[in-house]
Amino acid sequence: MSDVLILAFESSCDETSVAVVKNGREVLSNIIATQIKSHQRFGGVVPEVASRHHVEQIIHCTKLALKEAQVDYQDLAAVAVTYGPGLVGSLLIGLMAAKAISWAHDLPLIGVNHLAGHIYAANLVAEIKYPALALVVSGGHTELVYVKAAGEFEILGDTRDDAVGEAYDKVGRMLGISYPAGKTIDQWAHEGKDTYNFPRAMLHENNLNFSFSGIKSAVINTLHHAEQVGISINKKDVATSFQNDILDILLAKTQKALHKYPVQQLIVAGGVAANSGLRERLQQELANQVELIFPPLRLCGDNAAMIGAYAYIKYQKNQFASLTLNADPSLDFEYCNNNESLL
Amino acid sequence: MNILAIDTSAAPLTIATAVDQKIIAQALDVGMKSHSVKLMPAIDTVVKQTGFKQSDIDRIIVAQGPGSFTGIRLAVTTAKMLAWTLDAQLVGVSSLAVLARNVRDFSGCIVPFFDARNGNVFAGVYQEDAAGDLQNVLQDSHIALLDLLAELQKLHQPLCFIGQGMDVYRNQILATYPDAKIVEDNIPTGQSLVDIGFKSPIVEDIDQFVPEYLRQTQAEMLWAQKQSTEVLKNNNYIQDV
Ligand SMILES: [Zn+2]
Repeated sequence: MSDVLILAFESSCDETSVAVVKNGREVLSNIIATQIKSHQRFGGVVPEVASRHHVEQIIHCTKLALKEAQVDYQDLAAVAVTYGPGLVGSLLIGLMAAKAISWAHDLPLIGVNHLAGHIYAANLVAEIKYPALALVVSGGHTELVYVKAAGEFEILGDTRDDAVGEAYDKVGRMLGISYPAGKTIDQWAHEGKDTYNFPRAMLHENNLNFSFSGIKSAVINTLHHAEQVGISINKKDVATSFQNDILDILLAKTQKALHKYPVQQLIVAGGVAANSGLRERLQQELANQVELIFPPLRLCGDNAAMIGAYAYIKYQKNQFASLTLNADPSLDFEYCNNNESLL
Repeated sequence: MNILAIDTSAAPLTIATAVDQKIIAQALDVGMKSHSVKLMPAIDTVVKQTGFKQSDIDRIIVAQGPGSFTGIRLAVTTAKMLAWTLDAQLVGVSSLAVLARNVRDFSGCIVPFFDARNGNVFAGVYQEDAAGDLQNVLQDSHIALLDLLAELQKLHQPLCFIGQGMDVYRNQILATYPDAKIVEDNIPTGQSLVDIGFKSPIVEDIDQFVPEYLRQTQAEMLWAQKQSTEVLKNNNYIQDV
């Protein structure tokens, strides 16, 4: 069988990315234009601004992706695009671009769930063995996903309120760290001490769900209280306490999931998978019971190569989209329905 | 010259093909389903009806704005991507000029506008020249209707207003200009698009082609108010990583 080259588009949030991926496993190019500097002006992603930037970047990225991969349209087997979840205005730019290329060159179109993309970034560095468990952690998601077989996903647990990356950004803002705050908090966490012992929400509850709004409030209260009574705060200690809290919860729930759903591999995906504290803890505590797959940093954040990786699975199953494909900002996986009873 | 013309700047969707200025096929859709679903299938249908292959398209004309931010982004993204990937010419036209072109045989000033809420409109002023071509008299802008009405007084011309949602503005317009002609219409015809786009300049840098929003985002406006001119000079916000 000849090689399957897929041109993939990703524009669900504030990165415009276009990639060429071979057989779902090999990245031939993966161009990423990030808008972070723009949104730093506002302390977070402004959807209308993000949509405008995507229009400015889309050809530039596509041009480079084809050039770097050294391919032409006749070499391609399909065009893939993220159609959700994400910001609707942002998603639409990648979607229109992908449809235009697909139609112009009579190439089949493949719609990709952004979360499936994050998980399948793993296939770009190792081969996924089914069933696998995925911990998807990002600014928009905190989910434990059971990957039963190729392209078959079930949510075992997710967040009841904030996503983990969102909690990092909100706490970061309180500590005076500019958006996005993950990297700095991670760094400070390695330099401070866990002196505050914030509450671990839902840690002992008999389910696989998360909650991060409580810890956010606990940090606010601590900072307010310190201000009122005039004691100084060691921000690094707050960062360490906060990160320890978050990691304890993520580790405990992942352990619980592994216990109920024995798998060979744990895939850690999404932007927060770049967190070094998380990587260290998972290595220390889980490496002896399960194979850990951490995509490299460039494949953890939003990128189109991961979209091309998952699109290959749909390509093999002949799951193509029509030109009516629409953006679905709240697209998600199915929930596992026998989950509660198993616990 | 084989032309494909696209306009999704307001609620209607207009797709047309033409050979030079002669319309061959067109789709006008005023239904409620979103442009993001309908746009590409409509292009496919119209182009195939015409008997064109994709590679036969020599020029793509697109209504670049002003209008619904999402609407103009959909059309502009589609048009620039198609023009680039098919190696066709790209021409951006004012969506207000297209609307104005719907009015024929009126020698005064034509004022096309879209409602922009809170008493504001996106509007421009156009007039037919001796050759029958449309000339721009007042630049398209985002403006309070009352300010626009005041501006128009300086022109000393008979006026024809064209747009949708006239019920909201009719009384205000007629209070100032009792003799004004009012046309309730917001459907850009393929003929209007092609007539303007056929004679407009070709976009030189397709990569940099973006919609004419005519309005900064709220976030950028508030941010800019607090910045020094030094900071505002820097607009290098996107990085390849
Ligand atoms: Zn993501």
